Amino acid sequence: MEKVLEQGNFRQSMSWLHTWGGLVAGWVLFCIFLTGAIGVFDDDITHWMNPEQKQTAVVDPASLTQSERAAMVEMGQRYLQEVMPEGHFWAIGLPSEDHPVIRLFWQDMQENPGAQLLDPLKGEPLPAEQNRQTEGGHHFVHMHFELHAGQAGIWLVGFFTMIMLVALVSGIIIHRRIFKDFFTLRFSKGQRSWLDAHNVSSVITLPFQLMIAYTGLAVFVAVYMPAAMYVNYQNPEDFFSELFEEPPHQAETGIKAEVVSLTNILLQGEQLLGRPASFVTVEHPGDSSARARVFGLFDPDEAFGKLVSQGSGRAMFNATNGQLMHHRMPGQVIDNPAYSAQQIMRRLHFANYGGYTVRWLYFLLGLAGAVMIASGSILFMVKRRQKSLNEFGRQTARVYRGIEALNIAAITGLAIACIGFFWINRLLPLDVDIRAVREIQLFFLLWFGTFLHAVLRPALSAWREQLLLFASLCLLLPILNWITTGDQLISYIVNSDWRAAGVELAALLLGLLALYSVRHLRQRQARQQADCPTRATIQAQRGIS
Amino acid sequence: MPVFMVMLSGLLIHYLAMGLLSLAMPKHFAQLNLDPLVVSEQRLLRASGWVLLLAGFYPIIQLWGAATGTVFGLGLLSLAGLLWIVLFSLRPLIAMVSLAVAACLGLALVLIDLFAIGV
Repeated sequence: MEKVLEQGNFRQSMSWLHTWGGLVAGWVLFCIFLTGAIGVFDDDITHWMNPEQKQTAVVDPASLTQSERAAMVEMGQRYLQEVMPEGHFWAIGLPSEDHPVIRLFWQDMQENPGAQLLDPLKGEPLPAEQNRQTEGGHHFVHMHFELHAGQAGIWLVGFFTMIMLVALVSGIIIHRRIFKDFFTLRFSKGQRSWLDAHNVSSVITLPFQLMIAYTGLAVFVAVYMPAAMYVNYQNPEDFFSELFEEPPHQAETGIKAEVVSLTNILLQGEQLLGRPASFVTVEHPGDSSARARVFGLFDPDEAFGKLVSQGSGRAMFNATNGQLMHHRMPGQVIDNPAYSAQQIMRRLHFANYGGYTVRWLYFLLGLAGAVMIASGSILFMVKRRQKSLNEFGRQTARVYRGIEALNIAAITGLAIACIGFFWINRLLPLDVDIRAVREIQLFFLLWFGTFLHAVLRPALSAWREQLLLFASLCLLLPILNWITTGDQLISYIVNSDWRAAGVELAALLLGLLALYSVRHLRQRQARQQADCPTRATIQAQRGIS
Repeated sequence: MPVFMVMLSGLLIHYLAMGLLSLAMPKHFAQLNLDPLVVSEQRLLRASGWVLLLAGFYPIIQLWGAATGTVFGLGLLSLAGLLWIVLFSLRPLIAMVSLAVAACLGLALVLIDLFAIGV
């Protein structure tokens, strides 16, 4: 008897944990899941978002000769020498299929970043009409792992991922009928349907959700669990150089020294690695501690299906005299079990080694995770709309209203902001100053707008209107693109540009799904009004006490 | 066989497995408005469902190896389950037709695979 009581108490406390932990974390986790799922296609979205770069490409990255690459590195170095002769870091990216231009990145002494694209033939900065300055699909990836908040964002995402693991385990404990209800999904039954949707989406995709949350934490193991590193190493850089079997990190000496010609370093590096380079970087340019690195070109076919990263090869040089300091050949695996384990989890999380089929699988399962979280948050309110549980005494109705508004903004609001980001990309003029940053600011502004809308409108109307707005933004995206750039879905398909076509086809499909949900919501509302509404539903609809 | 077709064959076999396993449960079979199955028929459905569930992992593991194959196989199983549940709950009859289509297509892919290996 006592044992039964104990069990009941345990389930009850787990249920409390699942409900409130899930609700609070759900708002952030939905964002992490949705942007993570979209971020699976980051390069394809960037491809769609920068049509100018593709149209004005003057070189074919696949057929560059070594002397052409050397000339490009020289142009990059000349530009960097002028802009930032003494800084923390330089990087010169050689033209690739996704970016057929020279990409320059740098950090000044205070490690503030800068970037510039150069014309690969003339070495001059690319004019605005040849390059739409945009963060592209990487915007979604950054939302996913750091919420655009840097190190603090990484910590925040890690914290909520832990809560997700807690919610998954407590959810398994409180679900009494995992196998009996394994296939049960009853539509149009109000609260029952939301519970079914929440159960089905969680139970069926549980292996994926556990894997993705756990490996997500493992990606940032050095950030989340840094204690061992700080106890055993004076400088975290020393830990990484030992791990990568490289010469130890050298601090700036303060003695000025010019960087030698990177052209020779590139040629030597390519010779050594036996493949074209993709990037040349310099650490501490202008200082006598300067080091240059040449990175070999990544070969997706070589990495296909391999859990342990083979590496594309890298060579390290003293950048003040051009002497080779260290190199690792392509395919040379770092022989360290802990590091390999972390690499495997990293690759499982990123899923970038299995081509498009695996990307689609992750995208769909990521969306299923988003549905799991959203249905849980909605269930919380649906349950309380029927009958208030009075958790907050006289303030209950007001708190419920706040939760409802946050639910709407976090779910449909974020969806609007995400598709809105594609609209912002096409509507913001090309010559706007710091355009890429402005795009992201407008994204957040739009998201905040949906929150205000959710606060000001009655809950059910807000849900319906936001879904409708989302559907229209999705369905009209191909037309917007046609008007603003002249590209359209049919021409994408005819030219077999499946990456751009895929973006618009996915938008159309999601738009249709949203329209279907709007219709469903409207039918249910009509039915509710017909059944002589109870006081509770009137209150919920008005959203006031 | 291209990666896409291997993954599709895994998805189809798992879809079939999920369909049979759910139909083996009386409460779900009742959604078809047919006479209930006898116990031996239920057992047959359940056993074939489990066999197919395991079989679906075979092409995936063959392609990716045991470690990655297990992860992707579970992913496909989840996706197949979701697709089946949504369709079967909304339109049971269309879902039954889709099950037949999945069976034919899955079989064709398996045969292509075997034939390709033979060559």
